[in-house]
Amino acid sequence: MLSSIILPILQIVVIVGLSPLVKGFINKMEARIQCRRGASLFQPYYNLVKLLQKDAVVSETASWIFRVTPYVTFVSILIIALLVPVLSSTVPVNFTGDIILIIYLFALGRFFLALSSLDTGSAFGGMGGSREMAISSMAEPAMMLSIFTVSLTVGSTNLSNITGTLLNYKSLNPSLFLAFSALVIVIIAETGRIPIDNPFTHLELTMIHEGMILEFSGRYLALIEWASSMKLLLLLTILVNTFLPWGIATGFSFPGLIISFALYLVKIGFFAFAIAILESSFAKVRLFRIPNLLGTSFILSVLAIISFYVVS
Amino acid sequence: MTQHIIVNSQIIDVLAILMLMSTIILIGTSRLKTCIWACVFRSFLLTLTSGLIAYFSGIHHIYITTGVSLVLKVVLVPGFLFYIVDKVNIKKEVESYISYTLSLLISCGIILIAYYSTLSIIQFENTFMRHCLPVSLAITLVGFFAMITRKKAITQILGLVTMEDGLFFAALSTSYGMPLIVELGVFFDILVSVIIMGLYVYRIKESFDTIDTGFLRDLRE
Repeated sequence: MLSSIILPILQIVVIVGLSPLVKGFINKMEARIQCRRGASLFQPYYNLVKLLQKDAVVSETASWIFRVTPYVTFVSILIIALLVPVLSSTVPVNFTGDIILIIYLFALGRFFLALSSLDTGSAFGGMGGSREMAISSMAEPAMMLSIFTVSLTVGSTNLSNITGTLLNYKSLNPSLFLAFSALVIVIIAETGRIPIDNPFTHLELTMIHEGMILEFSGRYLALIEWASSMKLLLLLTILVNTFLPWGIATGFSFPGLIISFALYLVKIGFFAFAIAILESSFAKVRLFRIPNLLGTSFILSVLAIISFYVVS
Repeated sequence: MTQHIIVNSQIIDVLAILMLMSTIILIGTSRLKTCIWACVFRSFLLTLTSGLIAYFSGIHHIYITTGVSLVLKVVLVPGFLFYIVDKVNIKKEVESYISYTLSLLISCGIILIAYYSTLSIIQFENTFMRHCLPVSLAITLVGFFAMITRKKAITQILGLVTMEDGLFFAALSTSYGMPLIVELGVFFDILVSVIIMGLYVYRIKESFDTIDTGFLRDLRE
């Protein structure tokens, strides 16, 4: 009983509290790779505090959608944080939704962001929104197929069951390798990291996600920035706890959770470092080359599911 | 003992799938050097696979073909290709007669055909290497596809090397390799044909100022 109250709170605390740190870590590593000293690891926290203290400027022509969007985005990500196994494969509220709901909650936040980017009538916003939608329409099928491959292997779409079963999975399944690599490409596309989108710039030629949130300011911007860093951490968590669940706690025990937390930090740190290396060694691809990259991801996920069906 | 065999065949299956992935990268990427690196990676995986198969099966002549394959396909052929790319000074990206996304989709279709056409064979193999035959067929066909759709002579060479990799893998995974003398002959063929094609690339570049083989169809005085 106690565990079903503490575990969700713990999940929320870890995801909400650590997500700016992951962003700061990636930025710091990139700065180091480029031989700069870089901003402090905690800079994203300072940014959030600063933004939360500021007043929001809202365009006169903006409708209620613009004001609601930051909250919808933030809350939909918070709900996902409740559903994903983070430190323990037991998720007390997992009866409320499975991986399909999670994919659609991500889509809900993105849908509202795209709407609000059109709402103010700024040209950059609309451009960013249409680009984001075009990319996500290609990334979503690949994400679904690769997740479904895992679901088929396990026989359940519930993330808690998936993690629990794969924890004791003794064989090397080639389909899972294909699904993993497809999901990695999708995560880069969904979180707007460098080969797809540049998270550091507001130049009109390159912006996709930044273009959408150009009109937001103050606490609205803080919520959206926070939600986007939580989205990165959550997608990495899904990747880590689905494909590499070793060491995750299975129940609710204090030492188990501590070990699980340490391993979780190591795994997330590894993938964050991989993202930093990837971002430093690749240039952003041209917009018309993005279907090429996402097509590769889609084909990998199709092959994952087909090779699962044909061979086993 | 059976547990052992299952684990071994799973390792080889995973290597086969990784080879398939690097072949998809070869189709999907637009940069020439990435294409060559994808080929190197695949040939390296193939060498690793054949070394593992030699170790698991205890057949000694596979070690020899592994060594020859390592020297030839992982070192000599890519080294020669990089040399040609630098010498001809190719800056442009890979060009294809059809768009990348379409060629990705077509190669996906080819891979599906490979899986379904070998289905009647592989479903009776209970333990050993079920992914190998479809993957080797897929690599062969995708290499063939890359050869006929790419415009540049270099990428056509890569397609040829890919096809050869697929055939070698098919022979290796179904019957523990061809006889040694045949393997050596095939390797020598590949080396000679890559060198001849590389020289052709250089000649084509000198006479036409491009290595687009489409220009060869134009009649000239």
